[in-house]
Amino acid sequence: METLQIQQNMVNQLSKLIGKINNYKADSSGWIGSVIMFIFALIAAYRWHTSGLIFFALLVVRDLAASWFLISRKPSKEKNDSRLSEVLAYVSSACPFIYLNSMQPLPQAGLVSSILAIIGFAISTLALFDLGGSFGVSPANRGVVRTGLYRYVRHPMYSGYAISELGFVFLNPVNLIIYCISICFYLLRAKLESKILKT
Amino acid sequence: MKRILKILVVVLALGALVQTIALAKVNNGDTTDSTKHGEPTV
Repeated sequence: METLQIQQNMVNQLSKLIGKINNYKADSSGWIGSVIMFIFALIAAYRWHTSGLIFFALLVVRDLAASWFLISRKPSKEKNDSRLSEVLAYVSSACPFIYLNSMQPLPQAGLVSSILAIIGFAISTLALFDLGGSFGVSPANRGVVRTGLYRYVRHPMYSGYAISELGFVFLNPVNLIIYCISICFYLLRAKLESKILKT
Repeated sequence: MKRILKILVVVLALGALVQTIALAKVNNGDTTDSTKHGEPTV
């Protein structure tokens, strides 16, 4: 009799949890983004396990949080219909992958690069927690956030990315060109987001 | 919950900074030798 009650309770709890997940009704891009971020979290966890570097633990927290926020995010009140802005957002997000490695790394350059990467990632992760359910890759109006880092900086997430990517310039001077392009993309994205949030 | 996660991020970032600087010092051979200062060695 008691085991039946326990089983019934477990079924109730499970259906509540499934109900909560279904209530989020994330759009297809949210689900795809969430799966990608979860895969990134698994890769970061593997690299944390093999290298023992705490930086990868920070990446695991960031990627898991992004994965969760993408499926649990609020529906957008208004979305930019322009395909160009969406393409810009995804190309800009992929920019960090095209930076070149150092040819002959100086120890000081490696250290400065690592410090900038850690500071930048910490800022963007804190901004991600402030954004919460308003987080998204392509520009959309999910409500204006004015708490946490957003009280002091208009786009703390982009600022964090800009700081962390600056480290690549110290590794290879050619990266300065990619960095300038990446910053232009962030500025354009910030402008587009401000435009959507004003309407 | 959000505050706890933010504190975790700050702790991890500080830990990563300390680890990075310590590893850079070790790689540069900038380690202190306790025997030079006449300190007891085990």
